[in-house]
Amino acid sequence: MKTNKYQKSLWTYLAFFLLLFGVAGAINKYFISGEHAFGVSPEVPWGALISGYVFFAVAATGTGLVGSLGHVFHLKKFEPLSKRALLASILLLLSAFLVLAIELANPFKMIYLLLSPNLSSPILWMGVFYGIYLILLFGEFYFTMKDNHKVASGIAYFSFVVKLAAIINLGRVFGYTASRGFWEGYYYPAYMVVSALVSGAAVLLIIHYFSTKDFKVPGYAKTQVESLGKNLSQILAVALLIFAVFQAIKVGISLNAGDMATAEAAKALISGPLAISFWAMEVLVGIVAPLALLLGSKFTSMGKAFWAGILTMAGMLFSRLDFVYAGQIIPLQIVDATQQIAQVYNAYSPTWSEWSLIIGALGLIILVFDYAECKLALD
Amino acid sequence: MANYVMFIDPNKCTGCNACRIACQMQWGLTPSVNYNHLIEQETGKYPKVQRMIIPIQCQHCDDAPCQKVCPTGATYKREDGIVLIDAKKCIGCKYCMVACPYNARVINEEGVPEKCRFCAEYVAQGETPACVSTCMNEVRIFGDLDDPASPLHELINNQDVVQLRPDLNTKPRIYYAKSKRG
Repeated sequence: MKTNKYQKSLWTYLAFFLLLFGVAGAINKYFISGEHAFGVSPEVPWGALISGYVFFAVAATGTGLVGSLGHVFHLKKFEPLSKRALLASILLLLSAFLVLAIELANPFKMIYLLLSPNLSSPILWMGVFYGIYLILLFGEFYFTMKDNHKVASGIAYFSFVVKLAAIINLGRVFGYTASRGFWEGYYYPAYMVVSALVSGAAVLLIIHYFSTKDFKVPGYAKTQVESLGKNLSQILAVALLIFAVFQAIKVGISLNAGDMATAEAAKALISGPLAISFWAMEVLVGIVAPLALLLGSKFTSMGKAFWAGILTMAGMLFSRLDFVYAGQIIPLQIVDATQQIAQVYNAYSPTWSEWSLIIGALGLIILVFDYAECKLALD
Repeated sequence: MANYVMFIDPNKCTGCNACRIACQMQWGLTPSVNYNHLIEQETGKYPKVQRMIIPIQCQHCDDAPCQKVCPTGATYKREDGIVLIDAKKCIGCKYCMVACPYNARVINEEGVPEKCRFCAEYVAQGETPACVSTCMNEVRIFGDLDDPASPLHELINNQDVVQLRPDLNTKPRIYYAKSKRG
């Protein structure tokens, strides 16, 4: 283990400030406003914190998936990423759990997931898969740090299957709801897998930039650094293109759906209350701009690849916000499915507390990762 | 074992909201929390427009989506057909609220998504649910479908009744009289 003294940087203070903002949001929920701290309602029961949970959980899984190119698929080029990919996965998943725990009204009753589990519930399986995944991540990280790669690889194979199951099941949580036409079906399990690859490549590009920008990594030549960066950039570009096609197909099919509620939800996304968030943040910032940066530099600029990663993650956050709200934005057709839908939407706007918890979780990840970079031998 | 169902005739509903208020009084709910509500449905075109007021509450479905998605089994169905929630087990994930096609649940001060209980505790003592007993027009009738002496037996088996969102196959336990207003 390294014994370097922890050097505080601008990032440290920024991350600490973000974390404090998150703590303020949690204080507001637990000691001041209670459930009213969040903008949800009986019509829109799931809000930004569910989006935040999906954002962090999918990023954790994606980072693990792309990171496993080294440990599971033995692509030597990706092996230098393994330790950081594992650490990032652990921190992202812990953040996902933290955000979800604050969103839940009674998180301590989760003991009943074990005492009286309902096996037909996708949320139960979400807890099972992600719980096992977190344990495996800790195990894989521990043995990797101990340079026991045989055991670490063994765990990695099992972990690969678990993380795939976890991410597909996460999509099923949404696809299982027959009353929400926009979510129902098999699209969201596939969406989660593709967007996990996008998130994973973006997170690893950001980490790769910070860990190698000064080319200080021992035994790791500049050409290797550039080559790995180029490969990650290419993975991100391909994943983004597939993601864009997936989203276009989803919106196209939904617009032409026989079910009026599904079509209206898609209209809300592209020309209704979600249009700015969808076109400006999800499409322009999250897909077009990163692709332009990556393709424009022909995958050779590490700086541009870093910004492509940042923009992609910002777009991903809005993608989560958009799809969670879009699934609930159209009032339920309670009487019958053919009743005319009035041109009104279920209102929802994230409160400062909801934003603060997502931002605070980001601060926590940066802070702990920065500390670990200094204290652990991650190279 | 009883087989509880409810019959609602929206044709008789005046929209007075007494059912909602009686329920709130019965269960000591705050003004913003209610287990039943009314929706208004317009049909036809001017000048032949008709308006129906439809009382909505938990449908106590036999294939309840809320029960299927509840991760801890907090939502459960009794043998007499009533769907209840065990607050002790509820983690407050609100998946039941998302899954319910009838918008029947509302989160209470304890963070539990509560809903109409068919006044289970009062029914056990031989009383009728508050929304039923308070209604001046006898819009609702509650009882045991298997009891041949119950007026429900005649109403549901012989009258033209409909259920809400039959396409979702949730098998609701509330039957509505068909609209007589075209």
